[in-house]
Amino acid sequence: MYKWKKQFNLETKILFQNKFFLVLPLLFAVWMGFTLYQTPYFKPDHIIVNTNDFHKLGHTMTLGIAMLIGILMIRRDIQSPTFEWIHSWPRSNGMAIITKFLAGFLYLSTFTVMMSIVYVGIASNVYGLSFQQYAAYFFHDILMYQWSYGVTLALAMFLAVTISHRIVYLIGFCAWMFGTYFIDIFIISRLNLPFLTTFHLNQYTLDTMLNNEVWGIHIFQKEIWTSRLFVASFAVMLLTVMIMLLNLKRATMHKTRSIILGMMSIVLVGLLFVPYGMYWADKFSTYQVVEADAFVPDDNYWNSGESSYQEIPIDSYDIHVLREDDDTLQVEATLTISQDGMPQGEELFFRLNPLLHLQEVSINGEKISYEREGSLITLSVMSDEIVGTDNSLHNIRFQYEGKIDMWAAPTNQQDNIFSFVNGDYVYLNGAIGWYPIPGNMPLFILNFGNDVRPYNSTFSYSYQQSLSQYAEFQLTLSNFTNNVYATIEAVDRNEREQVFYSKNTPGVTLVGGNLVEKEGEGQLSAVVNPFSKQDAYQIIEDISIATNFVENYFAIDNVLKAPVLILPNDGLGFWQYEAQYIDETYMIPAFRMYQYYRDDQSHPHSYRLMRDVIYNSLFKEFAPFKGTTFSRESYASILENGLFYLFLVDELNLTHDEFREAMYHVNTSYHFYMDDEDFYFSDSFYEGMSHEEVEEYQEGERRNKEAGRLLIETLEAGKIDKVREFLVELYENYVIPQKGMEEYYPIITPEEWEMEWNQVMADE
Amino acid sequence: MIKIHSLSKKYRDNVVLDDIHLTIENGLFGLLGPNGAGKTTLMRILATLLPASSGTVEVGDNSLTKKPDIIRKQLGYLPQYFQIYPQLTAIEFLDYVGVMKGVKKKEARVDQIHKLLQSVNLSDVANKKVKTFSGGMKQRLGIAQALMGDPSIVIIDEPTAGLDPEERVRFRNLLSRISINRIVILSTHIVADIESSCDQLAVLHKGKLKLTGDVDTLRKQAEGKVWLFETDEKTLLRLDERKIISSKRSGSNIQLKLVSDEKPAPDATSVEPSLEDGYIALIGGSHNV
Repeated sequence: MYKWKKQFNLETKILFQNKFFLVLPLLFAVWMGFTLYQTPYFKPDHIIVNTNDFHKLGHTMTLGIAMLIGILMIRRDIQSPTFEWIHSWPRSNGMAIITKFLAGFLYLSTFTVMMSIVYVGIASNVYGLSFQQYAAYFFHDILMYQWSYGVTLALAMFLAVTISHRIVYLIGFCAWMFGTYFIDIFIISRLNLPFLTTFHLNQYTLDTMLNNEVWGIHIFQKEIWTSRLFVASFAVMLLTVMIMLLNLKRATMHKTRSIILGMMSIVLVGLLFVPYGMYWADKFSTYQVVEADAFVPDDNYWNSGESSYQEIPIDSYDIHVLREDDDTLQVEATLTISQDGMPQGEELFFRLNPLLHLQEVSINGEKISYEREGSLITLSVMSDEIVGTDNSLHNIRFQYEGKIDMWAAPTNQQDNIFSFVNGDYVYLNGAIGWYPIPGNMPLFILNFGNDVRPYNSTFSYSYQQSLSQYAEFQLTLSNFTNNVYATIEAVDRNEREQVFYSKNTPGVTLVGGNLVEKEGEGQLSAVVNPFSKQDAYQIIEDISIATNFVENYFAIDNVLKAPVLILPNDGLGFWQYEAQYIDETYMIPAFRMYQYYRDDQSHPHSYRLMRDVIYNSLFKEFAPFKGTTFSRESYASILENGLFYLFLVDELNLTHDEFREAMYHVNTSYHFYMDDEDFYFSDSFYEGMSHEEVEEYQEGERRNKEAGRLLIETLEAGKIDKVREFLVELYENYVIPQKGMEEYYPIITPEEWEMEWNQVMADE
Repeated sequence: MIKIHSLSKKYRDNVVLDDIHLTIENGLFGLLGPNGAGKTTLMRILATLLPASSGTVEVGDNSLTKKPDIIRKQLGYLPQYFQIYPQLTAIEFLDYVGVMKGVKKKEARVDQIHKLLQSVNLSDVANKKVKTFSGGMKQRLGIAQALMGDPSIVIIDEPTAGLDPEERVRFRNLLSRISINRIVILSTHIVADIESSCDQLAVLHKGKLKLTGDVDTLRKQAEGKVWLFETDEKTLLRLDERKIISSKRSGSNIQLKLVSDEKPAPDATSVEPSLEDGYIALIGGSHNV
């Protein structure tokens, strides 16, 4: 052992006495500290996200140092002809390699120590967090650092042992780049091979979900640890094989032993890849179940839009979900069928997630037979038998079980996890059919032959909505170990059960994880990651101001019954960039949330968020086109924008300059102030149209802009009451009657607009 | 005792060592030969750095092929060209070597280090870093490391190449001293290194063992073959230069000393051969002029 100690001392002395290497960890710490201390305006003020973003570059750079010292340590003596003589000493190659590795690892650990100091310093002093709040992420990063240093160092040493020429430096550089950015961007992301992430040297991939502060590292624990096991064995294999190779070149009595050890290490790597491989095999088999169930559209579908499907009117849901310790869900869902609108003389269809095993279906307590194909359940009774003659409501009870961990093959260079129940961490999207959805509309669609998506996401802006109609919902969750939040109101929460209820909702989505509920000053509250507490208060305040404005002038039910959900939605299979009204509350994407505030820091409020709330409150029944449609037939976009301008001037009392600046930030006025000949649509939009049609479109846009400008100028002229009167009347006369007519936007013709305008303004 | 039996080393078709048979006893053993004779290859094989293509080497009761790890514990080796960790001081380096060679006790190592540094005249720079050392100082430190751990076999390959005359003399004396109770194999192409101190020697030429024995055996190779005579420049140009031991201008003529089986000139006189004459006679002077 004394030889090991001496050799280790020599190696560390040589490394740590090198001034260049000595100063690098300090520079690294300064870089990291500077990056985290000065959060740029476009990034969240969030330690987890920002440290992760730093690691993607910072830590990857330090892997280059690992690669360099690994090669240098071997070429310094073992691979140097002028140091060949040291092999005449009774010094084993095993000892030399392992002590070099340990010394290099010790040196590289100084980067981890620096990272830890900066991390704790920034988290405690800048973000004011307690250690417990970020400990899990902190330790995760420490392990990620150490693991990747270990394998990178072993790889570098292996390259230097196998390649005696100095070209190994170039090959090492290539290995470093290949093992980080190249494999990430061009192989894992572009070729959709996410299971190769374990071969990424530090696994801080650019599109990682591990920085997701609500679920990230928690729901990936199995992947993380099976990967770590494999990576550790791979590093051990590299060390063992390089010792074997050196022993083969040198006269030694231990050749056979080192060959056996080398072979065993290769076998070990193969064996330890099995758990990781099995993990991914499970994911892919799950995906295949969903893919097989997905609707495969033809070209006609994309051209013509959605098809018609059976609709069964549901009065109410009563769902009991029991979570077992292994995350299996035992569910009983009782649906009360409404008499009105029941299809006549048809088989009855329901959809249930294909990963859930249906055990029993009964009607009014009597078991009935059914057929199941993927998600589609076909009951053996006809619709007429359900309705019966006594006009009483009928109950259909579905009993089913299964685990939900819905990984979908990555698209857009990002993981997609549609839903999961993983201990304390829950995300059950209403659209994936975790409760029976009436009718035969598909749950999933094969999106242009590429990937599976929830069916709703292809034509609905908010695919979380599961039903095409509204129903009463009673949901009881049992044995969930953490607080679960929903897009409907939580009416009771105790150790055994969590109960949710809504009188009228198109669905329910559940979330649980590293979340807390923050109460605002009024009725509103927000469910948010503990790190985003301050932002949550601001969001609640802004939503309150916007909803109050709407309630003051419009007779609509605008009360949020459930807490606002502020969630990091990246990687959850939907692409939401703005606040969305889902079921009975707003869901706000956490990452985008920061952009609301960073864009207009000079003002205490988020104009974007307020605009979204106003739009959602007044137009949620329509696709939110948000003022970007210059329709020939409707001035709806001017109405939408006009209401927001009114809010800025009337509710927030902005000055002329502030008003213009706010419009600039939110970008809604841009189109109105575009040159009359500078059209919103590009030339490709007009392809195939006749000259007359193009003219008609462009003339429509000109008139649209003109009307928009007139409205803004009138507001700026101080005629706020008149504009308000005009917009409220327009909304009540033209928008409200069109709700429920399944239009993408309300139709307000230029003539109707002008007539109302002239009428209101004439009263002046 | 080292017994080398039928030792050969080939690199593809190139035979570097060809059927070497040699026995080396305790004492200073000189391995002589011109550049490219295969001396370094033989040294590296003996130092366990290079496997032989065929043949055996036995060190005491141990086969070098089968038990190289045991033999390494008895070895001290200094190659012709070598580097030492420049970051270390002489003491640190020797301490490291001592540990690697199995000198466990620190006191024993310190004692050895001081004695060795004194014997190679490096005591004054014991705490200076190796990177500040001159070539000769590094050579002497290399010798010290070879002797660290009191090895029973010391292999030294072309050690005097970088030394100045004074250091060379000192070094020869050192070798004589250390060879008392051990085998010291000194590989060189400088005959003077061998002449003053070697008990046994062998001459390698083109991978073959040309001679084994002692200094007299080598010297006798030139007995009756060394001639001294004067000649003109024209005749000098016609002579095989490999056989010329020395040439010295004497007025308009040149006084020559050369090796030849036959009298090269009528006025040539036979002289008593030196070791170098014997070496020349063996390697290049075995033919008539």
